[in-house]
Amino acid sequence: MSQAAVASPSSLVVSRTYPATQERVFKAWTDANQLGQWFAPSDDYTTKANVDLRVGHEYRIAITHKGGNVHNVVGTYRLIEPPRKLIYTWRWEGAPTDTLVTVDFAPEGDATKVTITHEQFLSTEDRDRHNEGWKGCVERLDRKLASLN
Amino acid sequence: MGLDSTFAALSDPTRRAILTTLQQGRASVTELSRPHDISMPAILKHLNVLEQAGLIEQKKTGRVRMCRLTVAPMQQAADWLSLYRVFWENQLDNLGKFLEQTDPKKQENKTCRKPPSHLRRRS
Repeated sequence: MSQAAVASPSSLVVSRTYPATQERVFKAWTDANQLGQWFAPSDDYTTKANVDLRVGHEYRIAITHKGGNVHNVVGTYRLIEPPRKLIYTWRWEGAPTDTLVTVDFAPEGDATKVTITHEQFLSTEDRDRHNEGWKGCVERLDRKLASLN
Repeated sequence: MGLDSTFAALSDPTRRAILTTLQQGRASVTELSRPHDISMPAILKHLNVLEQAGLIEQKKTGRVRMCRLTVAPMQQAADWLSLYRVFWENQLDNLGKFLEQTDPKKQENKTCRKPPSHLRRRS
């Protein structure tokens, strides 16, 4: 069984340093208008962001392919510490899994180092299957006990 | 793997659902299309995108087309991570371009400089 491997969160870390102030980079990441100008995978996509930058509130980023397909990312802000740190959940709309994104904005002289940590969790479906497994065990135990009577 | 194909495979809800179904084992195209309220050509298109991204294999046996994941479930977590790595590296490239274009220092230079003659409006 691969449960143990699935249950342990896996994460990835990506970082980059920019010749820009912390404030500018933080704003690019949290201002809906600015996000819309860069948060797209290629020139074939256009992005529209809605941001409610408050802990417990949501953001929504619609990424539209020139062919018409729309991909929505939705999530909730968990921590907001301008201009140093952001933590928010991340989910492609329709996907079963919520993931967690942490973005650090660290000053390095006149530059800013951005570090993204993206963590994956057990999907709700995996969790359900896991629960089903337990339920099956309990039912089998019940039957076993009944057969002994 | 091309950036667009990885992004496309990751982001579309229908394709994510197809991958989730295939995690339980092989399935025919008909079985895969059942939960989705979309046409057969649309499903086939989704399957082709997934195949091009290297995530699934399609095999025709007689009149039935079967699909399966090309990666073992154990490897999948790593595959999602590598897909996301490509995604984020690319977003960081784009952020770099954006920050350069909107650099206040460069903006000042731009306003000082006269535009090239072919861009100047004729009066």
